[in-house]
Amino acid sequence: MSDTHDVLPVNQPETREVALEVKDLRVHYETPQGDVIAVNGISFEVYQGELIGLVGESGCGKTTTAMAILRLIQAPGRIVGGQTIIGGEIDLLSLNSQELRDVRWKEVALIPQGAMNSLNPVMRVHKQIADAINRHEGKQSKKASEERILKLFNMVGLPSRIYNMYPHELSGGMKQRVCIAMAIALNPTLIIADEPTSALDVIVQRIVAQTLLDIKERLGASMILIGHDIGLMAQLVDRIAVMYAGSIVEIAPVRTALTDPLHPYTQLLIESIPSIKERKPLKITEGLTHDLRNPPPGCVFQLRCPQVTEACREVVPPLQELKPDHQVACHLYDGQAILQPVSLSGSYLES
Amino acid sequence: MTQPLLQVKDATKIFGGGFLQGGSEVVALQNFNLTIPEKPAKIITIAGESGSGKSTLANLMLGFIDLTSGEILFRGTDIGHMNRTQKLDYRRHVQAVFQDPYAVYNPFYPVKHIFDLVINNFKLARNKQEARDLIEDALKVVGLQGEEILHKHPHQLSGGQRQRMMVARAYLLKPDLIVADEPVSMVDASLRAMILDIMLRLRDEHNISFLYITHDLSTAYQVGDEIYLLYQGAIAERGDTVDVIEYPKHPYVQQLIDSIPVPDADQKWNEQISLPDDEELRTHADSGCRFYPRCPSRMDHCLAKQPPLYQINESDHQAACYLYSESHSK
Amino acid sequence: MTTTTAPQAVPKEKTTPFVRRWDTPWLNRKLLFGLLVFLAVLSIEFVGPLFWDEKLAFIGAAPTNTVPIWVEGVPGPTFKAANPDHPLGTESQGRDMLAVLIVATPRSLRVGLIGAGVGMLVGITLGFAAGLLGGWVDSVISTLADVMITIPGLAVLVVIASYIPQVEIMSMALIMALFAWPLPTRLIRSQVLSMRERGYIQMAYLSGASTLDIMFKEIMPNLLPYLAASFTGAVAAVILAATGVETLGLGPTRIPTLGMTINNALSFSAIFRGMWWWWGPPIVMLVIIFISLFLMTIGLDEVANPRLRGLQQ
Repeated sequence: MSDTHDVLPVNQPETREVALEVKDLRVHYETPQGDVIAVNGISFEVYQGELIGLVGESGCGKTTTAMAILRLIQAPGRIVGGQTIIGGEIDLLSLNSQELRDVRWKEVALIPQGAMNSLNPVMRVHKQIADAINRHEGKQSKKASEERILKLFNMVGLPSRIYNMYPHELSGGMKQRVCIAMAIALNPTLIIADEPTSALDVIVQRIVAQTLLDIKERLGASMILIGHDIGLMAQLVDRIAVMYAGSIVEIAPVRTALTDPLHPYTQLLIESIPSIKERKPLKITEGLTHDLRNPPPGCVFQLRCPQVTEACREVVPPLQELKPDHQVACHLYDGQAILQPVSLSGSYLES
Repeated sequence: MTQPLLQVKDATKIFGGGFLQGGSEVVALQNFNLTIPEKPAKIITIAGESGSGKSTLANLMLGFIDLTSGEILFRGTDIGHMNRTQKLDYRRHVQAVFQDPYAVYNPFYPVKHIFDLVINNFKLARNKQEARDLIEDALKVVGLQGEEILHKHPHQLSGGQRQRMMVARAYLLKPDLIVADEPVSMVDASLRAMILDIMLRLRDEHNISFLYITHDLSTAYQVGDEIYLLYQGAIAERGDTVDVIEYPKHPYVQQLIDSIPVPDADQKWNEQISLPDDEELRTHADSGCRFYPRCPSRMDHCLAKQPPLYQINESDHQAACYLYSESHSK
Repeated sequence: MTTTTAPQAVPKEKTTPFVRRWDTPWLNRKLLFGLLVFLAVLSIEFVGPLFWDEKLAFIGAAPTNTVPIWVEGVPGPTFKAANPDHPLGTESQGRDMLAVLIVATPRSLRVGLIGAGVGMLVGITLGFAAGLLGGWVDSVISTLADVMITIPGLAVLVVIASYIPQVEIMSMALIMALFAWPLPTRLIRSQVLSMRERGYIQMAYLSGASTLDIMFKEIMPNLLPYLAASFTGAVAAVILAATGVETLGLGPTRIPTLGMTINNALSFSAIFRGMWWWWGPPIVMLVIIFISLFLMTIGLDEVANPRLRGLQQ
């Protein structure tokens, strides 16, 4: 997070507890032609009980970020720097493998991309969930295990009759809800869902999304929702973080991000959403991006930005808080960061 | 009345269920009817979710698979009974763009190969220079430049560039119809408009019709002229795009459009909905309306027989639902 | 109708992470090293005669039973002291061992290359036909290949070889080819089956390509590393089978091959007599050949199958 220790912004949301703090996370992938910078020093916070959306297009690094938080990055990728602090105390990146295994799934759970296709096809669904529980809490009694799993099914809206079924006997939506049940089995404080509804039909998507929201409320957990569908984010999340080519360019409450996006990339993304309510002319943009091994100095978005300046080509714009709870990394707003307490009239705010 | 360009009559495709395969059959498409006129060029959207039969329709139209019953007539000739020459000619007039902008390129060759294949097999040019000119012309239509990219390999181009080249390849033959099967679903959101725009321009400036197959109703709404909504192999509703999307009549279509997440934090989904537990695949051809288990307005006689398409007012708008039968609306 | 916001950016080549370039996988160490050694062995045919007289490989060309030059004294009464004209010693028929190596190695290699070559040609033709055409063509070819695979090859080869009065390199190679084709056929068929569903094959059909076009211009080029790996594997298998048959005495007798040399050594009780310089050199040469072919095969396998390269994807 940008250094706000000398800042006293007005209308600060009541000091909420931070469930997860990511500081300057960096992930590189080795290739024969050099390191690809997948995640380029991102920092953000997830507050207790909130649902934050991480949105961006393919290759922007959002899945890599999720995997890095749980230290699931495998060669040729590697985490080269940063911290991921849970509950203000434990830095996941500094734990040894035993400690890590304790924390994973119990404190932080992941519903990975394409999870529904990764269910073991030869194992009945109840056993897969039981396995996850047993591995962390030791073998449970058969009765206790069954009770617990049926309760989980109920929480995610699955009928009890699927207890003994195999994954292929379930529909897509049901499989995904089994994965959600697996993720919440140990009551984690933070759940990361990576594209949980991408492969699902619209109506099933709505149901699974409702389920996610529902269990988040019931568990009192915090959640990071990763995706590329901004419409879906609008329905679910409290705040939204926009990623581009390994960096976070904007973090804002979802309402503000949709009505008043500040970063040119966010503006571009919002404008590209085809509306189902009115027909309008299509907005076209070029899609040239830089080589991820050799990013140009300065802002990651410079090659596509309609408002690029000289400063953009030289200096990386830091993520600064421009309005309460609204951070942007863009030179267009240089000098507008909140620097002193202001009157409630908010006279310093310009858009 | 002139002969239509393409006419699909009562097309039915059933997979499996043969004598040797022991029974379980899947009705992928049932009694499908569609007419594409010679002119004016139109973008006809075939929309539906997974299992709706839209991909099957694409494969049937392109001649990759055969119908179980019914016919597909291209200017009067049944494509199921074409010989090799006729089929080649058919391909001159009906081309395609597919969903995956990477898989359609042979990784062994530079991207120019896709053009060479077309030019050589259809003898579009007499010498190298003519071929080069044709390619440059096609690339210009989609906003790309030849010297920069023709010699590159597919992995060196972006998804958007690759997909645009595919459209250029289809355009090379100056076809009458391009079947676009989910052309933008694997392209980044910010680049989709570019490709949809190309489709609009090809329709307006070059009189090429499109069969735009998609699951994304938002893009269908933005570019389609006519829309057919499929549910489990049968047409649920069809008509003018704006009409159908703004005033949907079939309960499935209404539920579908209502479930599309609107990017407006103040317009959340109205109420919680639930699906009945069984989302069975349709197995028998005649088991009444497929939407019965999920329909909030279902009636007893919906189970008896699959409802036909009923007219909604005097326009082209039709819905396959007994709610709109004459006896019901009276 | 549409608005455009296109900054005049310099179009830079966009590459995705995990870029795989064509040259990198081919330059892997196993393949290169194996190839180097194999080429060295192949070159014996041309380089050898320049330095040594190959006629010394014939019976009676040299004094019998001399020991190699680095051996001190004489290990037994039947042996003669080392002769500087014959650095690797000589055997009981008066053949100079170095000359034998120079003559026999290329001949054994030839059996391998021709046998595997014919087997691969048949395998490619049948494999492509079965994979692309499907239907009854596929059923017939697959059944035939499966039957051949289950028949114990060596036993049948021994029987066939014993019926041919005068076995030469060519007949040896063709006999081996008889059992070399089924496995490549099955492997190529399954590769073709999986490639058949790729998007670019559909595109090729849409572009008016004929089945032959698709076979040779679309599918084959992508199978090259795979075909090469199958080939090197087949060469090793053929040489092994041929050596086996020859060791039993069923190979060409006039001009030696590696297998026949071992057979000669056995018939003269070379092992009991401790004449390690008779059966040793051919075995060492065979081991070198097999190792080089093996390295080439797994090196090519890595090219064909990116997942084996150690980059987890």
